[in-house]
Amino acid sequence: MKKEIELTINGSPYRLSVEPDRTLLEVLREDLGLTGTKEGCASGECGACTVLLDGEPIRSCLILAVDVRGREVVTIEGVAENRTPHKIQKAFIDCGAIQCGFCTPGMILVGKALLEKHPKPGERQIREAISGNLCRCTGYAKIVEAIKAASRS
Amino acid sequence: MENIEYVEPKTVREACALLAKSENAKVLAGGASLVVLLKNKLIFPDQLVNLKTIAGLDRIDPSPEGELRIGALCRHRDIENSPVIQERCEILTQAALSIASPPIRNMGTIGGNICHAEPSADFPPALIALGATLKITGSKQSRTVPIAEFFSDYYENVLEPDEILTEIRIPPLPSFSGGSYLKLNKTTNSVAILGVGAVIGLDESGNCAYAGLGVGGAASTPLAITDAAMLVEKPITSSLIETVASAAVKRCEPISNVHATETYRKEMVGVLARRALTRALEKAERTTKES
Amino acid sequence: MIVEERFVVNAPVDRVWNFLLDARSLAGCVPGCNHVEPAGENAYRALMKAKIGPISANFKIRIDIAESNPPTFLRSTMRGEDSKMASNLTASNVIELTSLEPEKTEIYYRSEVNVLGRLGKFGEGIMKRKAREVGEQFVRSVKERLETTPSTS
Repeated sequence: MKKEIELTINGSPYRLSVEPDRTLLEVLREDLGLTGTKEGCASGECGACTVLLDGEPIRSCLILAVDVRGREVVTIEGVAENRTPHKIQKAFIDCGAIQCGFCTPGMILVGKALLEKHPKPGERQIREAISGNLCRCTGYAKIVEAIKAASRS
Repeated sequence: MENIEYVEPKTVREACALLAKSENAKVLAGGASLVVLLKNKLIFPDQLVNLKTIAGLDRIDPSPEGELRIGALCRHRDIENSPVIQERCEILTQAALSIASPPIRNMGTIGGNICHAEPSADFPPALIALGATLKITGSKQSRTVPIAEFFSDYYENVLEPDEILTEIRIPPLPSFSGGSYLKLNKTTNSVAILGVGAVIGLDESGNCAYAGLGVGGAASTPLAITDAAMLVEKPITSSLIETVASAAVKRCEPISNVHATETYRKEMVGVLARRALTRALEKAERTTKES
Repeated sequence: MIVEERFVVNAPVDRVWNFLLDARSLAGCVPGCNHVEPAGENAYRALMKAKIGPISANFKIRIDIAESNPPTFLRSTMRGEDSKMASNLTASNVIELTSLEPEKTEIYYRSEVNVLGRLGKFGEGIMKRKAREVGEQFVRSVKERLETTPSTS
């Protein structure tokens, strides 16, 4: 039985009709075409599905869409402002922190959430914040550097 | 997938009534465990009962008698950040911080962690070491169950179909107490291979007034190592700690799997029990010096 | 995974053999096994239920007697399917009887079981433990049935 839900995604209000067993990830990608958020492991371990829920990073593959009614979701598509890259996105590009790009949306969102809470994070804090996002390409060093650089700009 | 209903009770009574009526309902807290089972088509409930819409299940309240009451819907993140938990039963802060990764901790709940009854779940050994009790509410009555008696088998607990875990109660500890939760896992965020929680409380003369030890991942359920009680009313020596650690090893019946063999698990239970007890003691001794 | 056990029953070997060859009485000793019916010569159908926590499986199984040497040796194969769980079960079983005394028989059984498909992901560790429990219950039931029932069983 479909449920009607209202929520905010990337600053815009949405009214959706979804089956209760569909995850937020499925709804974002399949119903709304917001494919920046990725499915990696379907069990909450890889972090490719990370989005921000009321400013906090969560696993969209493990949360039912009906469970986020009335809340605010931010996906990678909502990070840039008016088509201007966010300072984190710019830092990722400048530092060469992107290789295949699969982990990047999750990493950027986690970085964004971190900087909003702790504008000048130390390296350890950054590493802890991204500890739930796996990257198979970069070895994490450039990603940490990018978030650090963004905190300085 | 067949039609699945999603209901949002506003009270515990309403939730229990829904569970009592349905043959095949599942409660939904953080979803960190349930949604995995659902999406991997391992369970087929016809109804999901969302507990997050019930107000008041995520409080952390000290009671006048010194007991600490933790709502079952508290997220791991809430436990991690709670100053009163850090002050009174810091082993829970340690256990919370050891779970998975920050985004999971933003979603998962202590109640879900306990009720999913994974043998290697992180909160149970720490709660066993604290001597916690669980408040369970059903459609007809409430009851309290000591945490050590809550688990019945792999992924099974003693909840009746219409019952919900609502609260975790931590009894007051002696003034000079310390706890240590140690986790053996392959990488920082992976599930525990083993988890050991130890709590030691000392009296003014430095003798042991309380000792608790819990082990996860070494049997079909989390284990209470009741032998820890032999430390009470004695000055704790390393040889006594060794005796308790050996007793813990004897109580285990671990499985072998890709992560670790039975033999290695047994060995590591002894190592972690010894370390956790030693660290808990050190912490307790430090609080006596600070006072 | 292999489940095997050697145990002694206070009953004569012929009675034990007849008991074990009767699919219904044998199935009655296996927890979760019921609805046994013949399926042709030396073959039986049954339902096999298994449960780990919230996950239940219901296998439709077929048992074929491959080799039979009364009253000491029996070999059978088992194939089962649970389509809802997209899983298959296969097993090859051996039973050996040794007469120790006129009223004492040693039973040795060995089952090599494989679970394939969605449930196979679960991990052999827990399944093996559960299989062992089933085996222990099997031993208890066989002893109970053979040692308390009068000779016409």
